[in-house]
Amino acid sequence: MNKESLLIDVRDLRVYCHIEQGIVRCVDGLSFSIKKGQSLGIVGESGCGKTMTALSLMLLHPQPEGNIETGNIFYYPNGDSYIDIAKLDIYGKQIRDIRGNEIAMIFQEPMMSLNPVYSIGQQIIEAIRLHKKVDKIEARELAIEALRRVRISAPEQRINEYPFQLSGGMRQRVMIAIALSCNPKLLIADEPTTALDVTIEAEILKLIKDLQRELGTSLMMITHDLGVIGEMTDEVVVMYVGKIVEKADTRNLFEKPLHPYTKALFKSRPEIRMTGRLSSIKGSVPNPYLLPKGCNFEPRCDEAMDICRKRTPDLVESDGHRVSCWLFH
Amino acid sequence: MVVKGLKKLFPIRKGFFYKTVNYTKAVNGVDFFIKKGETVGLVGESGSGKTTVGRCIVRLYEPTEGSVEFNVDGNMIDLSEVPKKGMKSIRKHFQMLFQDVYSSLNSRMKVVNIVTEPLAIHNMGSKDDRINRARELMKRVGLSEDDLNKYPHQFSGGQRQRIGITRALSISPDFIICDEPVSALDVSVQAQILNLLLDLQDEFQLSYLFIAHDLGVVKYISDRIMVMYLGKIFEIASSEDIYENPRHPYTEALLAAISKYEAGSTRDILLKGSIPDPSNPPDGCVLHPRCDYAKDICREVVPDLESIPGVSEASVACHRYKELNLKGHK
Repeated sequence: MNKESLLIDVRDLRVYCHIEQGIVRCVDGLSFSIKKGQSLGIVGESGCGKTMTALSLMLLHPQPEGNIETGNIFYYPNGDSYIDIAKLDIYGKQIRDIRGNEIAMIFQEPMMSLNPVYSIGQQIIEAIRLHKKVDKIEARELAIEALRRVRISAPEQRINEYPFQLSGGMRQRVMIAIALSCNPKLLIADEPTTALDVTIEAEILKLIKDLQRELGTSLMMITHDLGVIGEMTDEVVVMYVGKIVEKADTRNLFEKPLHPYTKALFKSRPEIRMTGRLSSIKGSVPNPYLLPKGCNFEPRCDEAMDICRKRTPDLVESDGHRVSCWLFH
Repeated sequence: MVVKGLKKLFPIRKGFFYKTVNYTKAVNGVDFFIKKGETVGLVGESGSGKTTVGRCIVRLYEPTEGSVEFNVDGNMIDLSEVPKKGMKSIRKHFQMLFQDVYSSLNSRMKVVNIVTEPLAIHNMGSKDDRINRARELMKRVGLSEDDLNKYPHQFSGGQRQRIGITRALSISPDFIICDEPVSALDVSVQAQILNLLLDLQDEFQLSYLFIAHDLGVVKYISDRIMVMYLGKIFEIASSEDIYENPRHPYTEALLAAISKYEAGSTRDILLKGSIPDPSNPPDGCVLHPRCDYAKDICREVVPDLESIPGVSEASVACHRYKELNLKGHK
């Protein structure tokens, strides 16, 4: 791969949580990379480790129980020099300069992530002044500019409003404005539209896509909705219980999903054109303390074979996909 | 069940004497019916009054105006006329399923008590009968008998919704109001719950009012669909018809906003802005400030819900539905 265009290169990342009941392998040997300006989707059910992956890129994984056991997160801010984020001190200055400034994140629930007692202007200005050496008046100008960029009308007045005065869609726009206020190189969007109506969802997704093009930001889109993945991303990682089960170009994945889990995800979506019963995946995500011995998906898989019960499959190349299933070995 | 002219206004009170200065018109004149064994979907953006309709039907909210007639063993009974005390005996004919599976089950009660509570309230059967009934139903919805002695926190979201379904079924209701029962669940679990609801409907002859904002889910489960906006019903039609052939601009916009599940696809955004303040709705057709097809008449005259000639059980509330040629979901 061309090193020049690489932005983030994650290699064999393992994030474990040490809790009373045992060790939960939230992220278990994940490798992926994001190029400059590219958008990567991470899709999977709740509890599969999507959010934990995103948090660990900014060293925001829960403390003290969460720990990056092994692996590297190579971050290439410009050209060939790189920083291994996984090796940085979580409370250190270096990561604080990256967080919010070079890698920014928007969250699922905009009401929970905005502070209700500060005006939205104060919250945007806070982010700007943490990372840029500007005075209050300049910061305010930048904040108004940031609001205008996310297509909020009359930003000069809106800047003084409080989160409760805004609708869900507007709040999410403010979150995006905060995230983009420092022109980050990577924007992580963790289920940004799950809490919103379909009509608003379409608007917010379009906004993120437009801004991504305008600013040349890379995007990491975390969602459980394959529809959002189809619209927003170039490449997809399908995760199941901390592991990658399939990785492919979005187009390839939609044309021909290979892994039984990916296929099942596509089939369980109620589509407008369909007739007859939905096919659902039987059972549920396994208990993280009692993972199956072989492939994690084996107990729910219709195509399981003997070997699936004994050994975990590796990620192998097949048809331009990387897939972790014994069917393709 | 027949609903006629249902209205629910929430007073907005202000000032020292707490005087009512205005009303939030959450449901503003709604008429529809649901047949036995039928599923009617109710869709709309948040703030359109979907949940309020559901709650008014079972009188969790007192409706301000209008009637809700319900077929109780062959007699049509107007629920809004029944005195408060009489409601208890009628309530055993309907149940509700809620969206938030984390707050709708009491975390300090064992599953067995949660599931048998409706039976106890209605004094149905002895204690042993109730527990037997709970055992039977738990197996039917795909849980095990041992689960009866656990607490809600020991279950996942999908399993909790199954407990909610067991509780709703325990008194053998005729009608269940499902208020976004699958919105909080993962797709794979969503499919399991939807299939379960359909199986149970066949088995127990249930009628559903299915409230949701996900049009894919609604299409899958419903026989007919109602589209609601700002307390009014804009369109009712059979679920195939409404998706192929929408007659209201708002329905068209909702359909355009559905994701196409294709790589590199985009959606058309036909509706701009957001839902207006329901205490001060626009004059004329409430959609006109957001509608691209609006003409002068739309700004002045409120359109009635008219039935469409030649199409059974379809109605629309739009002045221009005959001239417009709207796009369905392809």
